[in-house]
Amino acid sequence: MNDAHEHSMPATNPPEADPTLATAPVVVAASDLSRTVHLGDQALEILNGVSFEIRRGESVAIVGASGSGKSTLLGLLAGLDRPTRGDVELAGQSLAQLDEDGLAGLRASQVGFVFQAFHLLTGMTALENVMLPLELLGDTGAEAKARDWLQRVGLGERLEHSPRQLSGGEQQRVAIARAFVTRPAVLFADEPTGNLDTATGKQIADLLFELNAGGTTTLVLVTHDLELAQRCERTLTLDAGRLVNPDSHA
Amino acid sequence: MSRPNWRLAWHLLRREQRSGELTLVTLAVGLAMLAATAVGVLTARVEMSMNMAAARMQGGDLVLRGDQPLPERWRERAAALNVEHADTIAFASMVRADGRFKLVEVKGLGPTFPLVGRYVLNDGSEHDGGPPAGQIWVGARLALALKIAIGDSIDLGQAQFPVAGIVSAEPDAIIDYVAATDRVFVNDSDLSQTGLVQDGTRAGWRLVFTGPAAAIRALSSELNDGLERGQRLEDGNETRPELRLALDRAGRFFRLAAVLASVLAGIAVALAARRHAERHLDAYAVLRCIGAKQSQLMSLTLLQLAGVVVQAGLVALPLAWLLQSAAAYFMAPGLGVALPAAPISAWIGGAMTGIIVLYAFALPPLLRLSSVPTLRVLRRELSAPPLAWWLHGGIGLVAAIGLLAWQASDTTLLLSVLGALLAISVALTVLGALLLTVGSWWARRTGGTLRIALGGMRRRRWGTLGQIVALGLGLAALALLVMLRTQLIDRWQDQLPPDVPNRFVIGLQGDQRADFKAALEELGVVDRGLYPMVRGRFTALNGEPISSGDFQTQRARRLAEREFNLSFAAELRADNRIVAGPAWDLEKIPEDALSVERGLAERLGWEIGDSISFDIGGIELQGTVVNLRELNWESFLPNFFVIGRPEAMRDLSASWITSLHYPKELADQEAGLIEQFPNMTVIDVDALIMQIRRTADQAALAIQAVFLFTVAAGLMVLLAAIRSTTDERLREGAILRALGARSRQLTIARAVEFGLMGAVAGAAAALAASFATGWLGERLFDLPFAVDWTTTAILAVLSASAVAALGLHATRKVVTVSPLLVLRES
Repeated sequence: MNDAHEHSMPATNPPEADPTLATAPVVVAASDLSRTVHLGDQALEILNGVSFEIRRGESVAIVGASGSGKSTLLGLLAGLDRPTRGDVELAGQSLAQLDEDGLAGLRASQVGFVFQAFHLLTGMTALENVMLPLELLGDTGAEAKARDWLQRVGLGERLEHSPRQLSGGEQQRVAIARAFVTRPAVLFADEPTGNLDTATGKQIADLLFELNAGGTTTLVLVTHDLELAQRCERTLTLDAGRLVNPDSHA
Repeated sequence: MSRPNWRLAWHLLRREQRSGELTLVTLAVGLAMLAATAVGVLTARVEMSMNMAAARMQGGDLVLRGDQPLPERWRERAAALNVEHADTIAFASMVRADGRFKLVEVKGLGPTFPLVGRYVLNDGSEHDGGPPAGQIWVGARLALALKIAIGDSIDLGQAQFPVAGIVSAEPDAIIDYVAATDRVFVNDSDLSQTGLVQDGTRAGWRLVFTGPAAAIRALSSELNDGLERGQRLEDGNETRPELRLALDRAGRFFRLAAVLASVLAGIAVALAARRHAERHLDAYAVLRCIGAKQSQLMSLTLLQLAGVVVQAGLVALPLAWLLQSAAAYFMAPGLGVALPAAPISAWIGGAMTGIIVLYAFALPPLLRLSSVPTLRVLRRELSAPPLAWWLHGGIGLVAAIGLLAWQASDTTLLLSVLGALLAISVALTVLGALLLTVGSWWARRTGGTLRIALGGMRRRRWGTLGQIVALGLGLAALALLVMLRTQLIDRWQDQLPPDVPNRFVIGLQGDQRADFKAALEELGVVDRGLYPMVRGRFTALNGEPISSGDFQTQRARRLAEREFNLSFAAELRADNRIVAGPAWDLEKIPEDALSVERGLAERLGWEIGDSISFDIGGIELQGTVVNLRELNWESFLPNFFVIGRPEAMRDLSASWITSLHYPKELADQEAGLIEQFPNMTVIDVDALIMQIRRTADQAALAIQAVFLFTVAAGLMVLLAAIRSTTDERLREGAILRALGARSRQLTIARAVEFGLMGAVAGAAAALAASFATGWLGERLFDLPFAVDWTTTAILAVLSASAVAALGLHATRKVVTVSPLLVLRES
């Protein structure tokens, strides 16, 4: 891990501050991230010079209005997209140095995802969906681990149900189990409660923070739900592609 | 590529199959395999059995002929291979009955002859063997000519035999009917007492074999390798050209149907795979997102496809075995022989077809999946980048051409089918584009339901165009086969009309022609013209003497060894079609001009301008090839390999030949005609005609069976093409319903859309298929070019209706499923 990152870690004041976080290693570091897309002759700057660091075990919300660049930032942090300028270090690895397969390998071992649209594979059962990341890693104990995680998210009785047979909340629980099953260093969540009603959304958020608190996984959450953002230890606010409070706290 | 993750691939495949996502792909591959295997195996079996049936007209599956007694080792080899054998010997000799003499062919029959078939005597009795020792049978015409009755005696050489039977049908029908003559049949154990067979006797020895197909193939191969001078081997390929043509046409139709079935299955696979890929973009984006490498996804795709092949094969191959067995079972009685087992290559070929179809047509769209952007998990509008055009179209095209070339094994068939498919595709694309242009223009000027329908087509313009082309190709292939099949079967029925000549008359002398014509008129038998015939042996090409050893093929060697028929004519008969060189115009061609049958010229390496020399009864005739002709062997009129100018050949000793239709009711008077012209020989070809009719009937039956596979493949394409835009239609329908569109409006809109597509695809397909049928029929099947407008119109209407009905059925969910459910799932 880069010492400079540890020294440059901004001071945070989370709702439930964990004094050990200040000395935890940096797992996500964005430096001068920019992303421009071209629409015909016009260049559209979606992100511009975004820099910040996130330490292990932190929970960070990225907030901002629609079109502010939240999802683009998430995509760049997770290695789903390439920046026009700048770089991301994820779990100590510069993403710019990695090719597509290298990024895939890093995601497989270090990253978990939870999406607004759940993104479960409809042809598979809940159990099979959770087993999938482990099977990609060639883990022979995939089934046992997947069963365990589905039990932990409260779906021990619905292992063989297909996504179509599950409610939205249940589908998101499966997605959370799939995200945590590889014990990733970082879990990226894109509007995880956006497709759910308030009550179910709260349950999902509770589950997400509970699992995050119980391990060393860092949670990076993109949301426009301020209530959800406030549950994170730190909030990064984007406005028109710029980070307006790189050191802000919730 | 990374190490294949078999377990994950198997899991994914199982899940895909369980969810039904790969069903259409698997079905299409299975159908390609089923069609190719069943057609390939059945074709191989039918061709082998037809060859066997044809060979059995010679008395066995395989015949070894020699001008010397045949070596004992072949009998021993046959016994070792579990192949039965029988001996015959034939030679010319004079017989005497009641003081009358006649030159006849004496056939000495071994104790096991005939191996297949029976002798039928004129009292109706049938016999598995020839006459017992000490007795003689005589041919029916000889009995008439010599006024022989049962119990009379015949002198043959130094022996005398009582006549015990008059033969009306032989198991080994006459193959070279021009060389036929009157016959007597004796037990070969009696030949020694005649004193006619000595060392140096000019005779023909035959060793006839019959047995299991594999053993016959093995023996045939060994015999071929061990042929000595004066020996030759005959199998079904030596059969009469009239019969061979029927077999060849059936074989070509089989191959055409199999090729079209494979191409159609390929289109179905491509359409189904494309839809599968579209539906799996999200899933693959998620897989990439959670860490699957592109190479891992690619290997997963390949392994999944391998699983599809295995699954399809496990169903298709046993089903192919069942289907071809059932077809063979029903066809065997008609063919008169049990169908031999197909070679293993026919099975491998079928399975390979499925594999090629799958990988060539499904891989390009599925390869796109591995490159779907991971960011799609966040921005759903992102799709996989398109494959390079050469990769997308190239693989399928190269594979399709390779597959066609392999299955067709016939350049003319291959190029014709490719040309026809290309022309149909271009026509469909142009008409489809026209429909879209007119539809767009119209959509802007109309409202309501029609606007919804036309607008839908405009929005999905590429999908619509693809659907029109795919639907049109499927329909065109079906229409093409329907029309070709009908024409082919009609042609077979017309080819041998009830009054087809069933007798060849040879040996008439020039001065008998007028009397013969008068006799025919008196009998009421139609005179089909008398043709001069001289027998000649080919001796030199461009002044260089030839020997049979100069030729590569056995057939060419035989042609070089034997005498064949030459004729002369001032005009060529209309069914002699000149295919190279100038017309046969006596004023424009040289005095030594020769017109030659194309096949003969090809086999013997003759070209226009070559000088050919013949020995005609010791007289040398030299001529120059001026043109090449194709003959109509099915006319049962006398045909000649070589025709010269009358003045060049008139002085050579010519006999005259004709063919007649001799009605059964005149059978009693045939003897009178023979008595009036004792030097002529009448050859009965009823057996050959019956064999051709039976072969054509069986081929027609097989064609119906093969046709059904292609129909199934065509329907699969229609289904795949219609389903290719179903998801988009469902989404649009759900939005429109959510906005207040009524079910009736949406149903009418879909009906208009599918009706228009069906009308364009159906009309274009029927029209294109009509011309393609005429063109292919002319090129491949020697059928006259004809466009059947009635069938075209019927097929166009049926196609449009079928597409509209299938389309409405396949997209019925647009109005039956809750819009909320559709929108949630999408």
